[in-house]
Amino acid sequence: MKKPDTDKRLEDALSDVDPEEKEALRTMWRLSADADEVPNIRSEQVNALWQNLANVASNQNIASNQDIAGNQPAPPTQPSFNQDRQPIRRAKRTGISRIWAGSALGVMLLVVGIALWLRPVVKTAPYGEQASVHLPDGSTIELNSGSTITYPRFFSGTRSISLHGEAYFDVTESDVPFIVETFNANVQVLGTTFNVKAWPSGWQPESVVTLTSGSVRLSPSTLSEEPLVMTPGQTIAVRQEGTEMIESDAEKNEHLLAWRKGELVFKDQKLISVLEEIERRYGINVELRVNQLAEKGVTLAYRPATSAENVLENLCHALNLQYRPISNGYELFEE
Amino acid sequence: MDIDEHVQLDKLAERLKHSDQDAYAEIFQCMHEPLLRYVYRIAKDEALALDVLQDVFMKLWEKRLELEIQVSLKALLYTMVRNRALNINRKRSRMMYDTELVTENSTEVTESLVENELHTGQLKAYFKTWVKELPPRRAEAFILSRYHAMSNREIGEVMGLSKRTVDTHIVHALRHLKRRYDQLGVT
Repeated sequence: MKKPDTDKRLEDALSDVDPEEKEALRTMWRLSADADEVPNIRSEQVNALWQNLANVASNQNIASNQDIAGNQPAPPTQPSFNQDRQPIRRAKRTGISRIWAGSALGVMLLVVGIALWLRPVVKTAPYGEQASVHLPDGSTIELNSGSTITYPRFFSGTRSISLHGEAYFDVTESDVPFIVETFNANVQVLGTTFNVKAWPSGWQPESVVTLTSGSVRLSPSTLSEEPLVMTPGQTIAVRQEGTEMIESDAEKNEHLLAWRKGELVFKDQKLISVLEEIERRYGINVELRVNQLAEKGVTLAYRPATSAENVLENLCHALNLQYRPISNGYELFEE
Repeated sequence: MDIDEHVQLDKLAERLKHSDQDAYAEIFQCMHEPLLRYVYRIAKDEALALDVLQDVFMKLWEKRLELEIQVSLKALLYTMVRNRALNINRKRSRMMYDTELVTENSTEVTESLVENELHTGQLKAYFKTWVKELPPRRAEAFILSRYHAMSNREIGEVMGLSKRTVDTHIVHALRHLKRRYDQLGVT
C-alpha cells in the first residue's frame, strides 16, 4: 500500500473543503480506484516498439562514439526521426509475414466494421460548434456545443435517444413514442418541438425542458414522482431535490432557445453557469477566481454572439473584475 | 509510483544524459504502461497511442544531451506525449467525434441499479462512465491525479494550469462522482 503519497495528493486538493464533505470525497477517491480505461495493447506490440527504439538508440550511440573517436565534436544532430523510423518498420514486414499481416488486417477491419455497424450511433457537437442531426424517422435534432446524443441505428418499438447536454428536438409525428433520456429524466412525446438542456456535471445538475409546440410527458428518472404532462410555452427543471416549474413567458423562452440562432443570451442566470456555457460555446477554458460571485445573477445578450474575449471583457467590466489569458482560455479575478 | 520512484526516475534521467542505454530501457520499462493509458484516452486509438509513444521515446533519446528537466522527468514525458497526441487529434479533423462514446446510457445504468447489490466490477463501470461525463479538462486533471499518481504541481505543468486550478478541478470532479453515487441510492 502506498497510502501516504496518495493521501497527500488528495489532502492537498481538499484543503479548502469543509470536514464533513472531505470525508465523503475521500470515499469517492477510494471507490474510484482502478476505474481507469485501459487500452487493448498486447505485450508483443510493446516489445516490438521497444526493439525499434533500442535499435535506434544503439546505432546512434555507436555513431556518436565514432564521432568522438574521429576527433569531431559530437554533433547532437541525428538524422531526423521521421526519416529514421520508416526503414525500421518496413524491414520487419517482408514476404509471407506481409501476406499474413494483410489478411489479418482484412479480418480485423471486417470485425471492426460489423461492431461499429451494430453499435449505437453517437453524435457530438464539438466544443465551439453546433450541429444538426437527421434521424431515420425524419425527426431533426439541433445540438448545442459540447452536447452528445446516442441512439440505436435502427429504431424498434420506441424511438429512444439519450442526451448529454443541450438539444432542440423537432420530432416527426408517429404512433411510435419518441423518448429522450437525460441523466435524471425522461421526456416522452408523440410529435412536437422542444428543447432539453441537461448537463449532469454543471454547477447545478438539472434537466431543463422547454416545450414550444405539441405536448410531452416528463418523468424524472431518479425520483418517485408522477410524470408531468407539459403544455406549450412551459419550462420545467428536474433537479435532485425535485421538479420545479420555471416561470416563463414568450420572452424568456426565446432567451432559452437563442443558442439555435447562434446567439448568446442570458437573463438573470448564475455567473458560473453562464461561464460554463461560454466554455462550451467557444471551446475554451474559463476559470473564475472569485468564488463568492459564482451565484451572482447575470444578464447579457449578444445577437449574434461576438468573440469570447469581447464577451468576457464586457462581463468583467460589469462585475468589476479583471481577466487575463491562460492556457486555452481566460481567468477572471479581482484586482 | 511513489515519491521514491519519482526520485528514481530523475536519477535515470541523469544517466540518460550520459547516453546510458540501460537507463533508457528502465525509463521505458516503468513509464510505457501509464503513458500508453494516458495517450489512449486522448487519441482513442491503440495504434495511434503506440505511434505517439514511439515518437516521444525516439525524441527523448535524440535530445538526451540537451535534456532539461523543469519539474520532473515524469511531467516532461507526459507533456511530450500530450502535445504530440493533441497535434495528431487536431489533424485528424472532426471525424473523431462521430465515434466518440461520451454517454454510455448512463440513465439506464442508474435505474437498474437501485434495488440491486453492487459488485465492485459494476461500480467500477459506473465510475468510468461518470468520469467521462466530466468536462474534458476536468476529467484529464482528475485522471492524472487518480490513476497516474501525479502530484498536482506536475499536473499543472503538463496541462498548463496553476496548482490551485488543478486542486479545484479535482474537488469538483469528486463532487460530481459523489452526486452520481448518491443517485444510485446505495448507502
